Amino acid sequence: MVHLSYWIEMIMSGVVTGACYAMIGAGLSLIWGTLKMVNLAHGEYYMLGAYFLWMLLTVGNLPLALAVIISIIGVIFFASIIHMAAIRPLLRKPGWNMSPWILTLGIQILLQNLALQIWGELYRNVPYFWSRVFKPLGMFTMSGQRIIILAGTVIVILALMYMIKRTRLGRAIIATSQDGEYAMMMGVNTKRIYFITYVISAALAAVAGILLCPVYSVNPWMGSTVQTKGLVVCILGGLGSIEGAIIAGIFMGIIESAAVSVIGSEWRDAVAYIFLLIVLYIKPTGLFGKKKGV
Amino acid sequence: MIGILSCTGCAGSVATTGGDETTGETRQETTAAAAENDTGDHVIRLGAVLPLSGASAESGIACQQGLELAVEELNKNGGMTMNGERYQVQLYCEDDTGSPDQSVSVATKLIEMDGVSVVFSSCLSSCALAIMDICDQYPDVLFTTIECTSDNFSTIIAENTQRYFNFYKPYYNSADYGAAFGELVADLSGQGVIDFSDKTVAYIVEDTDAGRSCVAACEEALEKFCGGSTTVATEVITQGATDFYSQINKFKALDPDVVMTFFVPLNSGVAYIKQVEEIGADWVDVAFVYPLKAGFVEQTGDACEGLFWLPMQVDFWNDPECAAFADKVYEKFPNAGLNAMHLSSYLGVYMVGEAIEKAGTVSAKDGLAESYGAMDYQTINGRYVFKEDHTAIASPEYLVISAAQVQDGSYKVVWPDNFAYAEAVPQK
Amino acid sequence: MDRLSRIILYHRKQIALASSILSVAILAALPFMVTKIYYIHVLILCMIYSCITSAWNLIAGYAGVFSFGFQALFGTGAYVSALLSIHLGWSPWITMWIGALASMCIGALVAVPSLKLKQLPYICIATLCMGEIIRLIASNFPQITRGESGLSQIPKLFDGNIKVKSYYLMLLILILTMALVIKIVGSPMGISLKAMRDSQEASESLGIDISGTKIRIYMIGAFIAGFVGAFYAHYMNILTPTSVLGTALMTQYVAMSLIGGMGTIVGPVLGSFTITASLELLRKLEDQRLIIYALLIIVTIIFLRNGIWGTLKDVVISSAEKNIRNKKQGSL
Repeated sequence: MVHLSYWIEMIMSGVVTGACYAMIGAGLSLIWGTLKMVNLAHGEYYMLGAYFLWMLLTVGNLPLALAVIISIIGVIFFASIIHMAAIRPLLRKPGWNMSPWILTLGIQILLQNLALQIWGELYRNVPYFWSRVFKPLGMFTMSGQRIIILAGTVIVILALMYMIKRTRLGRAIIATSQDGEYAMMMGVNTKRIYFITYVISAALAAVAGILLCPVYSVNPWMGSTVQTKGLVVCILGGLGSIEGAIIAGIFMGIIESAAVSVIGSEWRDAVAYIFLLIVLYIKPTGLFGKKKGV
Repeated sequence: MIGILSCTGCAGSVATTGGDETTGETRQETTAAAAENDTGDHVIRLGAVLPLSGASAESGIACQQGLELAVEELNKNGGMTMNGERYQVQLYCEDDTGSPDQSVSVATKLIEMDGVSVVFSSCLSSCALAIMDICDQYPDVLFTTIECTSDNFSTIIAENTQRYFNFYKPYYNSADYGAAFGELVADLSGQGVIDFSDKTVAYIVEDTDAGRSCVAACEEALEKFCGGSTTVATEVITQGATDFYSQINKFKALDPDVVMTFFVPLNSGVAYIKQVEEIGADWVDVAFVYPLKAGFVEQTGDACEGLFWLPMQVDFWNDPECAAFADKVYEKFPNAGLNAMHLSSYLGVYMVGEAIEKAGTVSAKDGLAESYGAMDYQTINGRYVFKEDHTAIASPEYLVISAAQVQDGSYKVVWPDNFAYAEAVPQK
Repeated sequence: MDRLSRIILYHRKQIALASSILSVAILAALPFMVTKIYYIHVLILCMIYSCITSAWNLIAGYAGVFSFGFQALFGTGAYVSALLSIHLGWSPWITMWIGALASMCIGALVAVPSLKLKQLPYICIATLCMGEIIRLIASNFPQITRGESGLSQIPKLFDGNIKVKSYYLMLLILILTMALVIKIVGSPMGISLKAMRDSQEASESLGIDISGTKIRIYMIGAFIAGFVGAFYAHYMNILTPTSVLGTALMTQYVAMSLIGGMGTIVGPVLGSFTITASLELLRKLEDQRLIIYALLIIVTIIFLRNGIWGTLKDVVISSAEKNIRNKKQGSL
C-alpha cells in the first residue's frame, strides 16, 4: 500500500530542508565557536539575502547569476558595517557574557523593522531558478529548484569545510575558537578573525536565504523561524563543532519530515525538540560536542 | 535610591504625558462634548485595532488602506452627517501585532486617549474576541469587526445579547463557510464534475481560529449534504508556512478524494499549489480565501488551472463595480496587495456613517448600537443585515458565498446555480 | 561630598530600606495622580513584568541557570488557573494559588534534567525547547485550551472598578515578590547562590549542595511566575499560547533583565519599567517606533554593559570609595 517511493520522498524532503538547517547551523556555530557569542540577528542576514535577490531580480532586472553574487556581496557589506559599529565595541571582554545576546536582539528588531519600512509587509515572490521537474527512476519527484538547493548547500558546505581544515585562515579560526588569548599570543590577529568569521557567517545565512526564497517567499519576519531552528541545530550538533552542526541539521530535517508524515504537522517542531532533549540527556554536550571546562 | 527615583521617573513620565485633562472626567462627558461640538472639534473619531505587523500584516494593512480610502472619500464629500450637521471624520489606526492581549490594551488606549466613538475591532477572530470581552466597560462605544469568521461570536453573544449590545460582526461564520463547502462538494459530485465516491477528505489549515473552525464546519456540512465523510488527515500548520512537500507526500499515500486548504496569507497558497503541481496528485483541490488575493494567478501560472475556491466575496475581475473599486484602491495605494478586506473595511466606514446619520448620535448606548444593528445595507457585494446574534446573514439573498474555478487563467463563478456564469469543469 | 560618599558606603541597608518605602508610597499614590485609566493598565503591565523579571533574575542572575523556557511557567500558571475557574467554577482567588503550585511542579520537572548541562548555551537552548514543547501542547489541544483561537471569558477577580483594584493587588504581589527576593538574596541560600555563581567547583568543595539549591531556587522562581501568570489570566481575561507561552515573552524578560542589570535586585524592576514606558512613549512615532526602540537597546547595551542599574551601582560605589580613599590618603 505504501510504496517505497513514499519513504524515499519523505527522506528526500527531509534532506533538502535539513541541508538548509545545516548551512544556517554551520554559520551560527562558526560565530558561537570563535566569538563566543550567540547571534540572534543571524536569521536577519538570511532575510536580507532573500530581499536583495528579490530586488535585484524584479526592480534591477538582472540575470540570476549576477543577482545572486551582488546579493551576497550586499549582505557581506551590511554585516561588516554592523560588526564594526555594534559588535566590535562589545568584544573587548570575551567570555559568555550575556550582553551580546541583547545586542544582537536589538539588531534583529532593527533589521526586521527596517525591512518592513523599506519593502512593506506583503509576501514577495521569487520565481523558481529552474522550473523543470524531474522524476528520478520514476520513484520520487524532485523539482529543479530543490536540486539546486541541495547542490548549492553541498557545494557551500564543502567549500566551508575545505577553508576551515586546509587553509591558514581556517587554522587561525580554529585556534581562536579554542583559546582566544593563546591564539593572540601566538600571533593571530584575533580582531581580524572575529571580523572574518562574522562576515562569513552572514554570507552563509544569505546564501541559504537566496536558495530558499523561491520556495518560502520573502517577508520581513522570515528570519525568526530559521533562527530558532538554527540555534537548536547548533546545540544538537555540539557547540563549536561545524561538522556537528551540519550533520545535526540534516538529521533534524529528516526527523521533521518523518514527524509530519507519521504524526502530523502540528507536532513537527515538538518532535524535533524532544529529539534534542533526548540527545542532550544521553550526551550533555551534543552529538559531536567537545567537553570543555565551565 | 537612584534606582528608585529612576523607576518613579519612568512611571511618572508614563503617567503624565499625553494630556492635561482633569482626572475624573468620565468617558461619557468626553464623547458628548465631542459630538456636541463643545470642544470646537466638530469631528467624529473612528478607531481601528489591526495587526499591522507580524504574520497577519497583509490583512491588517489591507484593512487600514480600505479604512483610509473611505475616510478620505467621505471627508472630501463633506464628511458624515449627524443631526443635519456635517462632521469631518478622523481615523486612528493602531497596531496590535495580532496578539489578543495587545488588542485589548490598544482598544483601551484608543477609547480613553484618543476618544474614539467607534472601534473597528480587528480582522482576526482571536483579537476581536478579546476586545469583545471589554465592550461592556465602554457602553457608549460601538465595536464592529472587519470580517472575522469564528463561530464563537454567535455562541457567546446569543447567550447574553444585552451585555454585548454594542458589539457587531458584519460577516458570516465558519459554519456558513462549511455549509457552502458541503453543498459545493455535493453538487459537483452530483453533476459528475468531481469524484467523491470514497467520501475521503484531507485538510490543510493554518493554526488560527478561522482555519481550525472551518474544518469542523466542513465535516459537519459534509455529514448533512453528502451523507457523511471520512477525514483521512487534518494538518495544522503555522500561519505563513510554505513547505508542504511532506504533507502532500503523506496525502498521496492516503489518497483522499478532496483536499481542502485554508490559508489567509497568499504565499502559503501559492506554495501549496506549486508543490502539488510538482509532485502530481489526483485529488480535487478546494481552496479557501487565498485565491482572492491579487497575484495568485500570476505567481502560480498554469498550476492553479481548474482549482475550485471560495468565497468569491468580491469579483474584482468580472464585476464592473468591483473592478472600479479596485481601481480606486490602486490609485491611492499603487503597491497595495488587493484583497476583499479592502472592500470590507471601506464598506465598514460607510455602514457606520449611515448608522450615525440614522441615530443622530455617536454614542452606542444612546441609539447608535440599535441603529447599527437594524442596518439593511445593500451594496456591490451583497446585502448586510444582522441576525439576532449580531452576525450577518449568509444566504443568496443577503451575503452569498459563491465558489469560483480557475479556467484559462481567469476566475469564473461556477456555484451556486443562480450566481454562476460558467460551467464547472473537471480539475486537470 | 565625602559625607555623601560615607553615607553611600556605610549605610547601604538604611538607604535601601528608605528607598523601598519611598517607592512603594509613590506607586501606591500613582492611581490618584494619573490622568487616564489607560496608564494604570500600563503600570500594571510594568509590575507584572517586574515580578517575572525578578523571578528570572533569581534563577539566572543569582543561580546561573539561564532558562529561556521560563515563560512556560508564567503561562502554566495562567492556563491552569483560567481552566480550573472556567470548568470547575472555582473562585479565581483559589485557582491562582493552584496555578502557582502547578507552575512550581513544572518548574521542578524542568530544572532536574537541566542540571546535567554544564555549559551556558546548552542550558539556554534546552530550556527554550522545553518551553516551546509546553507551548505546542497548549496550542495543539484546542479542545481543552482553545489554542490560538484564544481562551476567553476567564472569570475576573473583581466586579467594579477593575483597573484600580487590580493595580493595588498587583502592587501587593510586587511588594511580596521583592520582599521574598531580598530575603533570599540575604539569606544563607543567597550567599551560596553568589558563591555558586562565582565558582561552581569552589562552592562544591565547600559542601554547598548545588543541585538542591538550584532546584529550590527554580521552584521559588516558578511559583512567583505562576502566581503572576494566574493574575494575568484573570486580569486580561484572554489567553493564547503565543502570548503567555511564546518566545516573545522570553525576549521581553531577558531584555528587561539585561537592560536593567542582572544579578541585582533593583535592576529587573528598573528594566521592566524603562522598557515598558519607552514602548508606550514611542507609540507616538508609529512607524518608526520599533526601529527607535531597537536603536535604544543597542546603544544602551554598548555603553552600559551591566545594564542601567548595574553600571550605575558600580559607578556610584566606586567613585564613593575613591573619594573616601583620597580623603583618607589626604589626611595621612
